[in-house]
Amino acid sequence: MFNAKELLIGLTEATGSPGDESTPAALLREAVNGLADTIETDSIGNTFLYCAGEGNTPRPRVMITAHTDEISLMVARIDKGGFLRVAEVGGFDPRTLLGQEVIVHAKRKLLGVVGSKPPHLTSLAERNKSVPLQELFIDLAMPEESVRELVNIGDFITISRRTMELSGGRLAGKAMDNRAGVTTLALCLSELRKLRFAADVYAVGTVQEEIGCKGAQTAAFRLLPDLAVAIDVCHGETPGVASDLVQKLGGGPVVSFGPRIHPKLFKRLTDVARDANIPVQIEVTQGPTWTDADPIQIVQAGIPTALISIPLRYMHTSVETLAFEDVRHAGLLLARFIASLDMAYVEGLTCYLKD
Amino acid sequence: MKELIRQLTIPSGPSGYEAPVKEVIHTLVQPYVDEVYDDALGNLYAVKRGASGPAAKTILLAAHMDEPALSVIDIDDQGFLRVAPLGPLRASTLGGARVIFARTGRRGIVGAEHGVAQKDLDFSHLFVDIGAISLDDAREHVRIGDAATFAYGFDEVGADLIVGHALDNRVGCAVLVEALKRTHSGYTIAAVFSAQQEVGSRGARVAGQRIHPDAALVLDVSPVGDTPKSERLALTLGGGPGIKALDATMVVAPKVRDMIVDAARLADVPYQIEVSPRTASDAGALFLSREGIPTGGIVVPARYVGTPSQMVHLRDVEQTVTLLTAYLGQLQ
Repeated sequence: MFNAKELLIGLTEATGSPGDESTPAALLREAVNGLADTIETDSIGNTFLYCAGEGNTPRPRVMITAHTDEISLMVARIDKGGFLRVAEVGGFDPRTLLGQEVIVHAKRKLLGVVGSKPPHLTSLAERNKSVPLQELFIDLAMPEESVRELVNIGDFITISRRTMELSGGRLAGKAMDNRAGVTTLALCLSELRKLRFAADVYAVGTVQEEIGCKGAQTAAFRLLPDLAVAIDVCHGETPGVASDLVQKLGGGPVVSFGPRIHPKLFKRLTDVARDANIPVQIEVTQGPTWTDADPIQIVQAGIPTALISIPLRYMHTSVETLAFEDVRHAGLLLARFIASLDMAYVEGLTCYLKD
Repeated sequence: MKELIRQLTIPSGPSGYEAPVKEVIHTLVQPYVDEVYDDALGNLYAVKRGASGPAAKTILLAAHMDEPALSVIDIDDQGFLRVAPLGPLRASTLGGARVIFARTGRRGIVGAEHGVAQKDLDFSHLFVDIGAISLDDAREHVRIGDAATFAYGFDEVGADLIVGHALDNRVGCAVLVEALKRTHSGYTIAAVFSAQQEVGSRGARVAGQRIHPDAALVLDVSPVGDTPKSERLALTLGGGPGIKALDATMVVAPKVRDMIVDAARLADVPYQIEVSPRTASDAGALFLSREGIPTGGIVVPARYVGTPSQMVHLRDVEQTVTLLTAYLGQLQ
């Protein structure tokens, strides 16, 4: 059995760029070893953890997803002096990259720093402008020939960051987006082992979410489940951001509502939370949710889809901060939700307008 | 190779109207494949069965046939045409460009309104002059919706460099035709000459679903970073084929990329790695087909992509064919 907080810390300190998620996927498989009936990996790297439900077939088929990748950079060019120029793999805010420590995943792992001109040597006009990504460079503190020897164009670059335990049960580090979701999947499976459930559960660690929610779409095509729940992060309360755009850290997992979300799934999730005394918050999203839920909903003939999010401050930086309690509650909510499902409910999901 | 590319750049192929290109390719590939057919979107499929019999796995190879074009949206009283871009074109590069209408063969010149600063120039400031004297005269030769491609043909510059308005991506088509001729693979090769890449890889999307291959590979061109004050890209002209790591549509998984790198090393072909965040290709659409298809790409480095005159190095093209053939040959 895994310790959930240690799992999350381990997952966030591990690296897994879009297209190369094998390390976090392996940590997930290891954590749920013994909890899942079968574990499979598909040809593009999605991880499928299957738990059979109880009772006669047909049983409801439920897909729950969390993406295993993290925003990264890629070596685009080696410039004179051995300085690396980079391309984005997922959306960093270039303002937050200056001064970061990074790992270049070259022939061996190389530590580097994102350099910049010191304030003493920049003009006032320059200092008032943020440095665009194209102007950033990575310094490996090595002679150019050693850099060319070890580094290839196309090597991934990730942020190097130890995850910190802050006070009040809060954690800060890189890749909380979405290793918090991955931890939620593991927590859900562990909680399910204490419950009776009729549904066949497919927990999927998806790939390449940060570059367009790709793995979730193909995984949904493979499984064609009766319903799906995506787990991701949403924006936590932050000074200077209007309160209607953010959710409280420690206020409970966030259940989304809006056109991308099946209203009956939303209702069932909030009903289950109320009955089980699990705190939840509600987020209304009129447009895209920018999560795995978006492509899953429109795979083939359409899949009833819901979204549970963990409130997270400073998204897409190296100090993404969350309240661990929200992750624990998300796992609990997901397991109780799954345990509440039966065939009659699933069949009712295609009658959108009734009741 | 040069002659093949020249032959492939003659027909005009605006996105959605690729038929003239398709006919030429159909004739060229027929002798080397087991089956040729097309589909509702205008893709051309050429299938060469794998040596390992009916159990052979399938690899889809895609090269898009279409090229950016100008589509007629209005004709004024004096017979001047207003146009919208079909595919990624920058209005600021088009003043004085010569075009040809695919349907009727009528030629025209792109003009720009006076008094607009170069940086502010967009398609609303451009018009096409087809030498018409009135609205009625213009209508004799051009209809709303007709598409015009550039009319610059094919030129040689220096010893091994070629320039043309449709090298993106008839060069990829030529590589694919040549590979079908030379290749013996354990895999079944489903070559797709794809339609509508420039408008969002719509042809590749249905091709991936129809063929449902075990793997996919795109053949395309990609911009270089070796001209004065160019974008900071690592590819150079003449540096050998580019093996795709990242473009605007996808990240290639390292294990997929490494298989192509290994093939290049074994065949002793020089290669480069392509990281090109603003270049679109069919790769992303193929990757997303059905349950997901491991997808990679091999690109021919090109200068001036997105303008009416793209330049490629013939040695790069030759080496791309060699690399592709070697890669396919080792698939069991």
